Amino acid sequence: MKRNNLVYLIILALFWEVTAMILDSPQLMPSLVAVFKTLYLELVKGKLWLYSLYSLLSILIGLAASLVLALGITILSTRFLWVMDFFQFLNTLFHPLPGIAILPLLILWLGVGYEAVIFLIIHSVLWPVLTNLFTALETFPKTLSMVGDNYEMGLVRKFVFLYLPGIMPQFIAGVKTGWARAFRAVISAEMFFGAIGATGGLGWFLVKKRAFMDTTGVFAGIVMILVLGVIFENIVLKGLENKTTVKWGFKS
Amino acid sequence: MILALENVTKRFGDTVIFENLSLSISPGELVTVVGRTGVGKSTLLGLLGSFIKADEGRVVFQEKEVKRPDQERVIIFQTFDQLLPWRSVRDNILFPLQQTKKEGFDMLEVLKALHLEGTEDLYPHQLSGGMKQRVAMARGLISRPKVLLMDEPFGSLDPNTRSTLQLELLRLWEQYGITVVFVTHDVTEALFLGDRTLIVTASGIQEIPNPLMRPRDKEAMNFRIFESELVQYIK
Repeated sequence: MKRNNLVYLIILALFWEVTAMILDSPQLMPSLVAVFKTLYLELVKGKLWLYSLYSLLSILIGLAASLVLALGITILSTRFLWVMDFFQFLNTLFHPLPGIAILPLLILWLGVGYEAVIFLIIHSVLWPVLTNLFTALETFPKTLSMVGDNYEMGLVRKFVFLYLPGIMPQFIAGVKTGWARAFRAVISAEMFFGAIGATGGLGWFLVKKRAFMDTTGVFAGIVMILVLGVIFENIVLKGLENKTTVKWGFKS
Repeated sequence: MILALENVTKRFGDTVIFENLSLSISPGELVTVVGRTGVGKSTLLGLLGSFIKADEGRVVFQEKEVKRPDQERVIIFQTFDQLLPWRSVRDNILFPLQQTKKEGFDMLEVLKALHLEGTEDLYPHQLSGGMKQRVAMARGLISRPKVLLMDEPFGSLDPNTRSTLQLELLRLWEQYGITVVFVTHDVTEALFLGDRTLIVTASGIQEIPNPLMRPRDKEAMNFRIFESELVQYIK
């Protein structure tokens, strides 16, 4: 994390505490200390980690499926222009469509279950990731593609050895957006569906806390989501970036 | 004859670039191609490498008609983005051998031939323009192709680096006996390097044999005279 971010975080926390003190109503805005105490208790004594794990699992499966799909479409697009054309058309149609809007249909077709959640994540992730990858393809140096032809490389070989590393910056940016979209989709679906399977995810945790007017618990759930987001972006994605685009001079 | 165009016609839309063009290149020859910007020099190179398809006519390489690019006719570009930014100098040069499983030259020999020793672990973004073109040439050479197709490879370099690389190219060409087709917009460069020069104009291609003995001196009287004659052709 950048040092500035730490300063911002402290300012935000102070602002929160002062507001909580002025309002003096734990029902509306509990103090930070209370939120972190609840978070700690829910993690250690409660099952917040299980809810988190459940949501994370859905996200990872959905995200992975979307990325595989997006890369598959991109491979075909490097050879067949109409594939890119077709999916760009679909993208204009479906990208602006909120996941929550198709939830009623998903329930009708797939039932209230895991499949619907995964489908929702794919819908939320695929389009922004494709937008990124298509932009990357359009700016991919033609000379590199010709180098591949020169050494008689086939479709998949060219993709693995030339295109994939070449579009890595936009791919990572896509994963970043995809992760955020997947998280949103999962929380919405879980709040909409209630508990799926043994426990349910973070969305269900929030719904339960809200039902009991446990504002501190709701905040604890939200903080958990934020923490997971920060960890993914700063450890997983930064690590990937340092090993690839930074090292290759795409990004300093 | 190692590489030839037979009655090739190429159009882009309604514009005819070449009509019924035939030319042949002998093994070990260094042919330079000059002409004004946009007249079709790179198209000619693209046709010779099968990167661009002819509308009519055939491209013949080693007595066989060819329709796709292959590893025996390697192209080297002017732009620096021809190197793979995610690979070190070493891995960029080794790329053709890894992809084709071909027996090539020894890596150390090629590094030495292009004065790239000590840069093996650097990445392309850490190299100067001249170094990048050296790496591109090393990559082109390592797989021992029969023909090198060079598309203004020194076009973006400063005059000093350019002169140095011209001399290196001649040395490598003599050492390895490789066939080279070298496109440039610089008449001096075309004369300095070529066994003969193809002048591309809107009305077709003209072949000018180069009578100058090697090694050539760009400042010599006969070089200057011949150069001014050639400039006339292009106009």
